[in-house]
This record gives sequence, structure tokens and C-alpha cells, in this order.
Amino acid sequence: MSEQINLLEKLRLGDEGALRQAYLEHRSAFLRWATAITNAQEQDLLDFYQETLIIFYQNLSMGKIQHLDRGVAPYLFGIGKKLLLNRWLRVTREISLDPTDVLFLQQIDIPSNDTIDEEWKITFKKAMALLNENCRRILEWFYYHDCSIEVICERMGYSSEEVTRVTKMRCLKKLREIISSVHIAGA
Amino acid sequence: MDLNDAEILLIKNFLHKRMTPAEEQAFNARVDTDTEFRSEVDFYTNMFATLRDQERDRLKKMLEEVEQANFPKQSKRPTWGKWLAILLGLAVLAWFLFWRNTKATNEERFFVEYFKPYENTVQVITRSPQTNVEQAWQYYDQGKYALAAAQFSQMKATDKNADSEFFEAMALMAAGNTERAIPLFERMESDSLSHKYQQPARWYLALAFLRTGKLNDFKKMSEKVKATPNHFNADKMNALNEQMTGH
Repeated sequence: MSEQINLLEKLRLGDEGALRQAYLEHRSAFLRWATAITNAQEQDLLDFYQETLIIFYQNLSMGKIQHLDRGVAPYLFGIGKKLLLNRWLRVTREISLDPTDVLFLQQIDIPSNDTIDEEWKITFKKAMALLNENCRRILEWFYYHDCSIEVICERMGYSSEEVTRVTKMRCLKKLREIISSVHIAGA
Repeated sequence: MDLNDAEILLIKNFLHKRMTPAEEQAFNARVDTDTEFRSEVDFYTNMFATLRDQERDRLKKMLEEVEQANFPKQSKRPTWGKWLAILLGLAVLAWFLFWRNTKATNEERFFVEYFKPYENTVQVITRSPQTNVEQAWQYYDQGKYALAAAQFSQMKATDKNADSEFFEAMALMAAGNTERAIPLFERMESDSLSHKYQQPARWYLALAFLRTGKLNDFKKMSEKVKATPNHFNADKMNALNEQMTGH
């Protein structure tokens, strides 16, 4: 049990080695379950498992999962059920849900299918690639990983939070400029 | 539009789904009315979703590597070497089938060209056969060789003679039952027996071997036909041999 808690802590801290370990630990049971309720091919099942684990890992590392009273496996299977309910894969057997399941599933957050323009995504990725490494990290940590200025300051080794805040603002400004220029160049 | 820290925090809470219903309602109301703010929210929403996708793609690639490293899949696609072996195998098989088919076709063609049932020079056929013997000959003359063979076979039990023996073998061969005819002809062609039908037995036995693809036996028997003094079909056997060596 302490090993499980240890693994969870590592996952929560964004340790990708722990993600690899979790992948191997739950793979067999998850694939057995998914095989029983879908008629998907092996590769589709693996994609399904990987997608489920990534959502679990992202939710955990972004602080969306505070308590894992039931352990890792029920939460993983819960994400799997929710993805199946959203028609991620075609199911051949009805997914059984009791009231506690329904409540449990409501707490699980899975990314919605966004409607972002693919062209914008490409432009953004190009712009991010043109930023320097420090800027990329700061923006990712602040906006995506939800890190505070204090944490970023510590990680980057800046002299103060104010320096960090100003650096972040300059990086964002630079990003906007590159997006505009890439967009204009591409137009 | 330059957002202050509170507005940035508000947008971050929106992106990370941390708002209370009341906060969310106020936020949506501002998005609906403040176009500049809405534009900023759109920018951060797009940025967030794209970063999430990038992260997801990177993690997916990593997990695929874990999968491949721990559960390697054997390539189901044959290598070029396997393809070559398959092609060679198919070519050999095709050549063998063609060769066998052509060979069989030639042997069959020669058999049809040279085989003619021996004429009944034994029994005068009556209009209404009274006995089994007469019936057997009638069948033979009518080309009902299977029936004739059966009648000749029955006759052997009560009245075994050289005629019935030879014509039973002949009828069997004409009916297509060549394998059963062979041992009968072999007995008749033997040097030790001086059978009445020794000469034709050798000829037909050679043809029987040809038809059944026993080419070595055919060769031996054809030599025996040619070596038989004054064999009635020696010339035909020479012609057949020439035709066969021509192919």
C-alpha cells in the first residue's frame, strides 16, 4: 500500500518515470476489462488505455484529483467508462453504472472536444517553437501546469517573484508578436 | 488589452475548472458583454488547449515507447527476403504444376491416339443372348465395357479361359479401370506362360502404364513389344516412342 501511495505522490509531482511504472502495473487488468466490453482491435485498445492513463496523469499532476480513496485502478476504470460513454470506442456490452458510480464519474474530469481552429494550433506551435527555452517553460508552467509565480521563480532560480512576473509578461508579449507575424506570413 | 493579476487568475481558474457556479456566472456575463475580455479569454483558451494537446502527444509517444519496449510486436509483414522466398516458392510450384499438367496431357493424348479396344474375334453375337457368356460379348461389342468386365469376371469362376481373361482385362481398361487391368495383362504377357494373348497383352500393358503415368514400366514394356518377334504393333510402338521422345 505504501508503494501505491509513493507512486501516487510521484505522479502528482509530474514524475514521468512513475507514469511508465503505472502503465505497466495496470495495463493487463485494463485491457482485460476493455476487451470484455468492446470488440475493438488490439491497437485501438492500447490507444484507449494510453489515452485513459494520460488523462489520469494530467488530472493528477494538475491537482484535479485530491483524493484517491478507492485507489488508482477504480479511477482509471472510471475515466475509461467516461470515455466509453462519450463514444471513444464502440461498446458491445452495456456499461453497468450504479448510483455511486454515477457520482464518482461526475467528479472525474475529462477534456472536452475543443473546437479550436487547426490552423491556429499550427500557428501557435510554430510560435512556441520560436521562443527561447526559458520562455516556453515559464508559459507552460504558468498557464498549463498552473504553477504559481512563486514556484516558477524557485524553479528558474530568478532573484525575485517580480523578475519572474516581468519575464513571464515579456515572454507572453513575444509569443503574441510571433503569432501575429507567423499568421501574417502565412496569410 | 493588458490584464491585471486578478483577471489572469480569473482566466486560469476558468481554464482549470475551479470556479464556483456564482463565479462562473459572473465570468460568462463579462465574456458576453466585454469584447476585449472575450478576445483575451479566447486567446488563453486556445493556448491552453494547444498546450494540452502538445503535452498529450508527447506523453502518448512516451507510452507507445514503453509499450514497444515491454511488449514488442513481431512484424507481421514479411521482410524482402521472405517475399523473395515466397515468390521463388510460387514460381517453382507454378512450374511444377505446369510441367505435371503438360506431361499428363501429353500422356493422355498419346493414350487416346493409340488405344483402341481389341476387336472381338471370338464370339459371334446373337440378337438375343441366352447365356452369361453371350451377354458378356454383347456388352463388349456394344461398348458397355464396365458391364462386360463384370460378366467376364463372373465367367472366370465357372469357365476360366484365355478369351474371358483377356477380354475382362480389355473391358476393364476400356472402361477406364486401368489399374485393375494391369495385373491381368502382366500375368498374360509373362514369357513363362505363352498365353494366347501374350502379344496384345504386352501392347495394352504398355499403354496401361502410359495412361497411369508409370513411364519406366512403359519404357520397359515398350522395349519388350519391339523385341517380340513379329509383334503386330511393333511399328506403332516405334511411332509412339518417337512421338514421346519428340516432346
